[in-house]
Parts: sequence; C-alpha cells; structure tokens
Amino acid sequence: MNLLVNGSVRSVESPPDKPLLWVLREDLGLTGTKYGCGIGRCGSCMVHLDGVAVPSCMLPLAAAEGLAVTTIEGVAAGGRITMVQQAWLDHGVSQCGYCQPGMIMGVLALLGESPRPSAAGAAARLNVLCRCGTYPRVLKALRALLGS
Amino acid sequence: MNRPASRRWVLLAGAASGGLALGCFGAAAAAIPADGDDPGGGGKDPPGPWAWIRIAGDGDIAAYSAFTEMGQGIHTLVATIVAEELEIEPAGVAVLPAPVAPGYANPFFGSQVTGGSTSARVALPALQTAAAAMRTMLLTAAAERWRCPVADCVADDGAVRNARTGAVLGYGALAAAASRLTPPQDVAVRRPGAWRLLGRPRPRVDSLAKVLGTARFGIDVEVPGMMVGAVLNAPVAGGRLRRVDPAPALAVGGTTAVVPLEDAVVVLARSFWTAERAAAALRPDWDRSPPAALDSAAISARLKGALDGPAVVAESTGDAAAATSRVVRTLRLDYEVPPLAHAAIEPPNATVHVTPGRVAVWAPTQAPGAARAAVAAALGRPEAEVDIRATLAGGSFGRNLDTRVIVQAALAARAAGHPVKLIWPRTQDLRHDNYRPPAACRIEAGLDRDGVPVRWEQRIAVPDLRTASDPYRHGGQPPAGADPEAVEGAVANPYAFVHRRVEWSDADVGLPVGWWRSVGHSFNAWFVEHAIDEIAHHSGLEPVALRRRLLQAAPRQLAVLDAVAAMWPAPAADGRFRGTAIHTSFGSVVAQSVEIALSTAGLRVHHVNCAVDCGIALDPDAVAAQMEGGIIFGLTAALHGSVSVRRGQVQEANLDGYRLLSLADSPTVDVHIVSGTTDRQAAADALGGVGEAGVPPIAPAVCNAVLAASGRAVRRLPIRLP
Repeated sequence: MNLLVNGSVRSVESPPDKPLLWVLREDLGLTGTKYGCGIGRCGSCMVHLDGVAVPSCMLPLAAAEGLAVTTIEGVAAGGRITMVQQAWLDHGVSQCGYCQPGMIMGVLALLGESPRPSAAGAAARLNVLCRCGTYPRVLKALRALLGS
Repeated sequence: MNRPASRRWVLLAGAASGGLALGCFGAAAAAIPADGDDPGGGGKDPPGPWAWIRIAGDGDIAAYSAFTEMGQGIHTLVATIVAEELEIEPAGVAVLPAPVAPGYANPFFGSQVTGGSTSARVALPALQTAAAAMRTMLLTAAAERWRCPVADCVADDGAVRNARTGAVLGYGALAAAASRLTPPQDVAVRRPGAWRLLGRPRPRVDSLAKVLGTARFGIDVEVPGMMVGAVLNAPVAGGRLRRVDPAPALAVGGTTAVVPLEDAVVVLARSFWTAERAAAALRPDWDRSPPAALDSAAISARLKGALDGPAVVAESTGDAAAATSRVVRTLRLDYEVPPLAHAAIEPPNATVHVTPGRVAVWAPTQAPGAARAAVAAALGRPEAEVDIRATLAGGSFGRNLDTRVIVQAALAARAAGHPVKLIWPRTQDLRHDNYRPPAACRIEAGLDRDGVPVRWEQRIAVPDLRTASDPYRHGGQPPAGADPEAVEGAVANPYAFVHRRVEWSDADVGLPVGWWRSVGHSFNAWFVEHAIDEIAHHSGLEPVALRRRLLQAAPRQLAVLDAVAAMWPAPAADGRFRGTAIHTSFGSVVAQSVEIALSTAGLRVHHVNCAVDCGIALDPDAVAAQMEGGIIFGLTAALHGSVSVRRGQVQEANLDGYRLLSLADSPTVDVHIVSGTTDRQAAADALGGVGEAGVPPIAPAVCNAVLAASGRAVRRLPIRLP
C-alpha cells in the first residue's frame, strides 16, 4: 500500500496490521520515532496523523492509509527547525534524548490547536514519559512557547 | 565507592597515519601495550588501544570516550575539556566511542565501565593532561619548523601562530612532526582561574541531533542483512530451558528462527513486531517454575526477620559509654523500601555481527569491559576478537550494567549465521530487571535531655549487591565484611553523634538485584534523613536547626544546608508545607527543600529547591540538569515506585503498572550551586560526581514535609497517605 509520510508517497509492503511505529522504523528507515512500551503509554512513538498526535506503536498500518503521517524527521522543513525544537535548545531540555522526538511531536500538535492551550493545560495533556527527568525544563519551554 | 588507586597519569604518544595521538593511563592500569594494532579496523578508530585524543593529518580532531553517554552529558564534557586545552571550540571535537582496551579502564574500578558518578572525575585529569601535552607537542613542532623559541608560538583556533612573524600552521600540518617528539611527562594544564570554556554553562554537543531525531541509539543500529530478535527469558533467575517447541513461533508469519539458549529463547524475524509476537506464542519447558511462595509479603517478612537476625558491624565510632550516660530516652524507628525497576525508556538491546576473525558489538552498555569478557566467554573466542562500542543510551540509571542482552544477541547471531539486533520487549525488561534491592532499617536513636540524638544505632537489612553479576569487580576478590554499598550513606555520616554504630544484615530475598541510580544512598538517605525529622518532631525541635546543631563540625554540609534554606524568599503560604533533607554522596553534598500541599486529591509537590556543592561545577547548567533529573527520578520512587511480586513473578510488566511521574505532576525546580571554597583549584581537585547525588535527598525531603503537614511519619515507600 501507499503511505503519505513527511510529504512523500512511500510504497510499503508490510502486512496491514503491522504497527505504524515498526513500519516507520524498519521499512522506511525513520528511526527518530522510538519504541518504549508498545502499549501507547510512554509516548516515545508519537507521530502526527493529519496534524493530530497519536502513539504509533499500537496503530495498524492500515489505519494510517489516506492520512498524512508526520514524524520528527519531517517537521523541520526546509532546513529550519521548529519553534518547539528551538525552545528545547534554548532551555537545554534534552538529556538522553530518547523520548524527546515523541515529546516534541506532542507539543507541536498542541501548538497547532485553536485556541492554543495554556502551558499548564499543555503539560496536563502531554502524555509523554521522560525517565531522565527533563520535566522541569519542559515546563520552562512550554511557558516560553505558550505563556504562563 | 572506591577511590582510584592513583591520580597519577602516564602519557603515551604515537603517530597516527600522518597524525598525532595521545593517551593517558591511570598509573594503576594493567600492562599497557606499547604499540597496539587498530582494534576497530575502521578509519575513524584510535591508532592504538590507548589513544584518548587524535589529530589527523587533515586537522580533524577526535576524542575517544571511554564513557557511555546516557543523558548525563559526558560527551559534551569530553569535547569541552579537549577544546579548552587545544584552544578550539567543543563543536570541533568529534566524540567517538572508545574500543575496550586497558588504556580506557576506569581507575575507580579497574574495568571499562561508566558508573558510580565517576566519569567527570576520571575525564578531567586524564583529558586535561593528554590535551595539554598535545598542545605542547604541537607548539614544539611549530617552533622547530620555524626555528624559533617555543615561547613565540601560540595555540589559537586549531592552529599555531608565530607571534613574531604572524605565520600560521594548522594542527593537522604539524601533527606528523609532533608525533615524533617525546611526550612531556610534566605538562601544565590550564588552571581553573584561566578556564575559557569549563566552569561556564554551555550547550550540549548532542542537543541538535536529539531534537531532530537523528541521534542514533543502540536500538537504531542497522547492519546489512541483520535479523531482529525478541527474547523470552526464563521466568526465574537462574532457571534453565529444558526444551522448546518452535512451532507456535514459526507459525507466526515472517518468523525466521527460534534459537534456544541456556536460560532464554530468542526468536528472530525481519521485524521486531513479528519476533515479539512469535516469542510470546512460545510455551517453553523450563526447569523451574516461579516459586509460589515468593511474594511481596514474604520479601517484607524476610527483611523484617533479618533486622532481628545476625548482623555485621560496618562502622562503630565515637564513645558509646559517654553517649549512653547522656541518653534519657530512646526512639525506635523502623523503615522499609520496596524493590524498584530502572525503566529506562530505551529497552535493553544489542546488535552483534559474528565473523571468522571478529565479533562486532554495538550496544547502549555501561560496562563494555564486562560485556566483552562475557561475550568472549560465551562464544569461546579470545577477548581481543570482540570489539564492543557503546552507542548512545536512552537512559540507563544502572540498567545497562547488565550484560545479558549482549551475550544473548551474540549467541543468537552465531546460531543464525546473520547479524542480529536483539531487543528485550518492555515486559521482559521490567520482569527480568536487576532490581534496586528492597531494604528494611531500624534506627535506635538515644536522645539527650534536650531531645538531641547522641547515640545512633542503625541496622540495615538488604541483599548483598556483591553477589549480583558484577561488571565493576570483574575477577575481583570474594566478599568479606559488610557490603559497602548496603551501608553507604549511613556510615561516615557527617552528623556529630557522640556514638554511631551501623550494622548490616545480609537479607537474600530471592530477587535478582543490581545497581540503581545512587545505589545504597537511595534508601540510606531516606532512613537517616526522615529519622532526623521524626526525632525533631518528637523533641519539639525545628528540623533544620537540629541539623545545623549536628553539623557544626561539618562546614561543607552546613554551607549547603544554609544555602538551600536561603532559597525560600518567604514563609510557606497557608496550606503549604515544607521539608528539607541533606545528603553527601559521590563526593558531592546536596540539600533539597520541598513545598507540598495535601488535599483530597492527594499529595502534590509544588516546588523543589536544591543546593549542591560538587567541588567545582565544570558546567553549571549540566550540574543543574543532573540535579533536576535526580529529583524527578527520586520523586518518582517516593510517590509511585514499587515492584510487587506475586507467586514468584513481578506484577508490573509494563509502564501502565510501573508508574512513572508524569509531566503534569512535576514540580518546578531551582538549583543553586554552592562553592565551598574560593580556591578554584582546590575546588577542582575536590570534584564530586553529580549523576546520582541529586536522587537521595528528595524522598526524605518530601516525607519530612508530609510529617510537617500531617504529623505522621512515613514508614515505608512509596508514600501512601491514609
């Protein structure tokens, strides 16, 4: 089947029930999207489907057909990083970095909402787990992006 | 933790195909090969199994990191130290993983391992020395070329400039000539007062790749023709596989092979998704079922029983008789903590390619030295044929001191005749971790007429970590006396009790245990520091004032305690309560003070202030990040952390059951760095570790606030409010 990923149509041979996470990582070489728990809990596998953040580890490939899939590799279009990535750099958020693509995809989706959530509202809805404990800096970055 | 046997470093230099390489060895290191061959076989490898820094003929500068980057920022520090001495920018230093070789052994442990918050303490003197010697040799080579005094030559931005003539020669052009010089054995490293890069907040060298999603972790390694594996481990540690019928796995479309191992089954496929489902379909015949009697209640009973059983005295100091003569009443305080999992978000994984003369391994390992020995033993190959490179690790916290996944991947790769990337499914990680040991503690505090503790008797019941699989003391001595990590943070406590006795009861609870961020400090700080507040509460004393009284002879701790108290601009508002704790670990002193609220919705930690004295802060922002991370890690344990066992099996099999703190529940954190001395060189010599030292104080600080708010002490973690 054909999959629209980061603005390009990609041909995929995998079974329709293969989770999108593993299609992205194994079939398309897009390894920025990470495996953490496999049950949609940790958020390291967060991608956008038509602009909505969803964990990709339990999402069958077939469910993504016809939708625009965006991964971390696809957000910094034209060589310009997003304001979320810039805020992450400005606040020195990343430690090990493993959950950060999922975290950034989650924040980008919240920034795209209308009306925009507050920083506290975004924190309450950003369902991505970080074990290094970058949360205090994530909160600072959210306040810089969304106001307090 | 042991101290390194020697702070002396021996320099070694060599030619590196037209370039210059310098290595630096702890004098205690084992035999150093005079001129080793290229261990990795790649153009980007060090020219010998000893080189820490290399300048190639084209001017490219590489540092070979013996330390695994797992979030703590050590690759950035390595680049910064080298850049400081070579007069370049950190971005100009490529940080590459070192192969396993004696020259990269961690002098704290005698093996190549990242742990014990030692990396900065090893990297600073070693890399300063090697890079400063490199600079000296480049300057000398330039002076010889120009036939001028060395004093006329200045290192500047990757080149040597002749201050009289203005002539410039790049490091690369000088490297070959410099490599023929004898390395100076006494080099002047830049003093802290003259630091240009160190001591200041700097961006991490890996941040951009991490926000772009291009950073490559162990799980991202790709080898042409590789298969992907999932594991099914024996349900009981030490259990053996009798036999396994591969049919249910092979029936899952896309499964390529089922590889039975001694204590596990590996299923191989083209996709992890396939391998994981196929592994789950297997019903292997194991020689042991989980012991039905092993459960959380039995573990707890075993620990409590050990408190009344035989014990080893780990420390007895001061004057017991004098203390006893002043005691007017004794408080007996019992505490208990559960086992905990590491739950790094990147699960254990390894990629192995076995070929006739070489076994190539990539893994997010903290223990390349132990892993190489284990792989060589498992495959029956000489260690020299096994080349292990540590990838970026997606967290670790002690998890990847465990080398099982690497050995399993190697055995599966050999059996399959293909390269193999083996990933432990999350359920396998959480059910087969080497857990932070559960522990129980009894403190009998003898109080004087003022209610101040003068006699401190503490017994800690906890499994012996020295019986765990041991990457630190590979080939070391058998245990004797108290396990130092069982009592760390309880012994050598800076509180001035008239008499202190610390005892350890070895309590084997039948659960595999291992090193978890801050190890014994993770529970001993809670035992001691919550007890201090319980005593203060009982005696009607203000807890910080009681600590100050007990720390009059400990100026470093006193300064940190005063610093954290000064971070509150005003008293707590109505309905908010504060608690404070201080702990010394890994050479650093950390105090934390929290503000909480208790409501029908439960306990909410609103803010944490943290003061730290780590000697000198090589990067204050990196130190703050480690404090913040340690606080969230320790807070997760205090509020949620619990591994429970039922009928021999760990119940929390995924991150829905093993709960981690969420962003929404995260406090804000402020970190203040205290310098205990104005002598910056003395501070640098007293460098402490920061990767773990932020964890221990947070649990007691929160429990002390709960005590202040409710009048109730917490006797077991995680905190469960009535």
